Amino acid sequence: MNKLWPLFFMFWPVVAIVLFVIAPDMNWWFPSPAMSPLGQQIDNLFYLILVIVAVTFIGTHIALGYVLYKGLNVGSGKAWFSHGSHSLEMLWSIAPASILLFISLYQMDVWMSFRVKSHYPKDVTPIAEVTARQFEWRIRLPAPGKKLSPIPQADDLYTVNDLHVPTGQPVLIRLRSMDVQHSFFVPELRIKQDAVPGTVIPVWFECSAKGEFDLTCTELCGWGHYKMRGRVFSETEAEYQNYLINLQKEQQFDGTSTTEAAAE
Amino acid sequence: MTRTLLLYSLILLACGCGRRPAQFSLSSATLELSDAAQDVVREELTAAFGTPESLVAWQALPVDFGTVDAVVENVADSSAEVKLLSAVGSDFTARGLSIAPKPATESGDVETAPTEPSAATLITVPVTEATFKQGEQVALVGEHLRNGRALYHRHCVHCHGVSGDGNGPTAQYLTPRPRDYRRGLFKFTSTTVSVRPSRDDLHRVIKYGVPGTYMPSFMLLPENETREIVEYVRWLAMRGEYETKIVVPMQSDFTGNPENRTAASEAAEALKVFRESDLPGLVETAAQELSDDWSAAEDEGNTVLPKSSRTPSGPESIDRGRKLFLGEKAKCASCHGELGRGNGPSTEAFNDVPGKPGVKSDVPGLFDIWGNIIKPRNLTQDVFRGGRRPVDVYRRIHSGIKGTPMQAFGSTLTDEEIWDLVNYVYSIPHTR
Amino acid sequence: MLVSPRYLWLLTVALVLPGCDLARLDPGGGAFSDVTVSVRPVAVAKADSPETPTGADPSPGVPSGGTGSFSGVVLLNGTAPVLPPRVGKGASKVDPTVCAAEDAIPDESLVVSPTGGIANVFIYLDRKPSGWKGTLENSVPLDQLACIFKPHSLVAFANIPLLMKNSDKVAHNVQTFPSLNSSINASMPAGTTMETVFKKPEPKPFAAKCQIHPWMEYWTLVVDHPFVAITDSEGKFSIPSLPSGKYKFRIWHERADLLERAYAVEIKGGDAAPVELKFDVARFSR
Repeated sequence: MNKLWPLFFMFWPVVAIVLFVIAPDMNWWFPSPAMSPLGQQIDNLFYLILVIVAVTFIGTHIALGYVLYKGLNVGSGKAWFSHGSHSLEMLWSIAPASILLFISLYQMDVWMSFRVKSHYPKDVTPIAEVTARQFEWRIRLPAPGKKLSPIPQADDLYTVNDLHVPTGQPVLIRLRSMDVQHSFFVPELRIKQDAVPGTVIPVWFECSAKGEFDLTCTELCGWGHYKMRGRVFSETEAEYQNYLINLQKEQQFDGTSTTEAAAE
Repeated sequence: MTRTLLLYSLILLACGCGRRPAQFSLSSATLELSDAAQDVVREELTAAFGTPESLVAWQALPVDFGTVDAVVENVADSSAEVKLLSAVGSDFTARGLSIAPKPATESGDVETAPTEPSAATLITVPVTEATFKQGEQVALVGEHLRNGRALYHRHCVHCHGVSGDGNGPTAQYLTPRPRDYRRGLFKFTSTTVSVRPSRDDLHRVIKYGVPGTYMPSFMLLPENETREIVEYVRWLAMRGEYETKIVVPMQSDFTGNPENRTAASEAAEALKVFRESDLPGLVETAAQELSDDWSAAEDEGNTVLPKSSRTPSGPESIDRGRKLFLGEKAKCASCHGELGRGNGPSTEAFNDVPGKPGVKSDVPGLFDIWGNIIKPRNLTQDVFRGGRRPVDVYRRIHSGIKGTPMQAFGSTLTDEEIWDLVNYVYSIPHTR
Repeated sequence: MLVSPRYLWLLTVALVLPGCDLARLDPGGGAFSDVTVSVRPVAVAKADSPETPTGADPSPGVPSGGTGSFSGVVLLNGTAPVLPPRVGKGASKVDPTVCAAEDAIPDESLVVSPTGGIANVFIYLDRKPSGWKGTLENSVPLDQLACIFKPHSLVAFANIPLLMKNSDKVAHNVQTFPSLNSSINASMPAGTTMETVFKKPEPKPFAAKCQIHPWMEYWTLVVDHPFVAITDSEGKFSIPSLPSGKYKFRIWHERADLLERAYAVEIKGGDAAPVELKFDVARFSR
């Protein structure tokens, strides 16, 4: 065997590791640090799995390299013959299985806190009903001071594409779809939930800092899927209430009031 | 081997390669004229509006084409080197634009250059008419038009079509169909009956979309971009109206229908006379009318504003509104149905096919002016296409919806009656 | 041989290449193509004499030899079809107590007298004679009674208000569909009147309808001169006071569209001989 083959096969895993190491500096990593506590937990899980996989990767590739190198010097002659090794088979079945079992049990509480209603934060408040539609996000809010009702109320406020939420508290949106499947994806908060027509899915999240986050649709829904975007504005409670009051004034503009020229 | 190569060459030829530049289309009325007359119309339209690849900024139109101030540095035979005056100008700002003399300010004098030209923005511009001297202040015309065209082709063309005829590639799959701009009629406006939409009306539709239709909200585009799209849409609407104003007077004499045509030689002579003596007058009148019509839309006197504030909603107001809805004066129920479901008796009648009076349609229902079946709004669905603010609903009732059977009730109902109707309409989705 | 592996690569290339139009890599619609903008100034080169008449009306100039009238009768060549009524008696779904309550609503799109005279035919000049200066009178008002527009055809004059009345017991609506003017869509409750103004002359008569009662229809021609006539129930018409000269009249009916594009008439200081215009019944089929 040509001496360069082991080098060739060892070169690429080294490149892969180097790319991973420099990725955050090249901006090939997460769009931003997780901006929600749950997102932070998800990132931690990600790093845990990354470490486990990295160790396995490096270990197996060192073994591969050793075997390839050793194989260089094997001339003609009798090959070593093995009937299989029962203990080895047990080892490499039980070890990965227990690692996977560990991961699945370890992540379960994070998964349940996002996906299982009974594990939602106790104090989460529904603030909006977000209806995905080709190709925008229609948002229904309760009037300031009132609670969101599942049945549209006469004084509800409506807006499109811009979702305002208060910072630092868990909020819940009722996710619906008007036509086909969409998916509510806020990458910086690390949340993603499909909007399925015919269902109302409660989605909760908590923004840990003020900011403006991208909301994108992440389930192919038609020709405009690529531009189905919105924004999530995370603001202080006072700013949030102010926003609701201004939205109400704007929506009640009857052409004569002098206080609000609205966004004409 | 040769058979294979032949087959594959055929496949290659059939698929084709290369770009096909966008082209403006002619309206169906124009296509009914004789071929020679169509050529005349096409030539005039191209002279006045250009093609999507080489636009023409006709300064007689009330469109903000966008100007970039510049100073002439060098003049050659057919080009001139100019320096942009604005500090934020870049090489792209002036790409493709043409020079025009700087328009005089209101005092009648041309302003002297207030600032030093920025050093990095020396560009070459073709010069066709007029001569320019070194140091003369000029304007590069067409920035908003060029940007609007690029944005329109990126975001709007697949539904609304290259000519704004509402017949882009996606349009065939949509109900309701995208707006055809070429009549200058837009449904959700703040202006009175028979006035064009204002820039703010169009901007509002682009920004908030039209709920219940396929028109999405473009709120995420920056405002300067949506304003440029508005200018381009107005420009396309003017192009469509201009075409009608030129073609309608030609329809009787230059039709393509062989039965009604005069002998070919006579027609050629008549067309020549038309082109030389009638067409310039038509062009001038059309430009003047377009300018008047679209400028009137910006006039605040033409904005529909209620004279009295909205009556607060309550059982009495809603009851009065319901009586008006079902009553004789407004007859809302004849189209919208007694429960507001959009299934009134008028929707069961067989109306004439639009454009062919007297020819009954196969299907019952009302038609809009663009020739599509249109259903009266189902008010139980809580969807307000033109906006859900009280002033928006007021405007729909007061001035009707242009191009549709929805009439204007402003002259027959008082403000208080309209507010009662508005309150009733708001209450319909929330009552059983 | 065509699908042997050796040539499959050729097939792939042949199919893929046309799709790889590198110049078209911009995001759809030619949005990033290079666009130029040229400027067209406000003033467009004018012709020498914009008043030179062409086409339908080559009248030579200011009348010098007096006036005359152009009159005649429009007849149908053939048997008039019997048209079923638009709404049978008592068959109206909208406002049945008023519309078609006592009589069926007739189809007025082709009204022919027993002597063969066609009513509601418009005879008009395409544009006013050059050099003509005169005043225009008010036109006949439009009325709505028993869910029918009366008259079925009328002439309106540019920039002169047209009076519209609703003498009926139910609300009606008037929606016009002109070619060059702005269309209106106004509601008219019972017993009200309204005025509307058309600013520009129209090249042909246009229809107007009531959206509430879809059979209601009438036709309007907008002109800026008085040389227009509509045939009466006997098919007779008369256009008086035409200045001397040669004219080309358009003759139009709602079912046949343009019956005559340029009917030549000459006035020589006196009334022209009354004409009998006959048109085949086949031209009036829809």
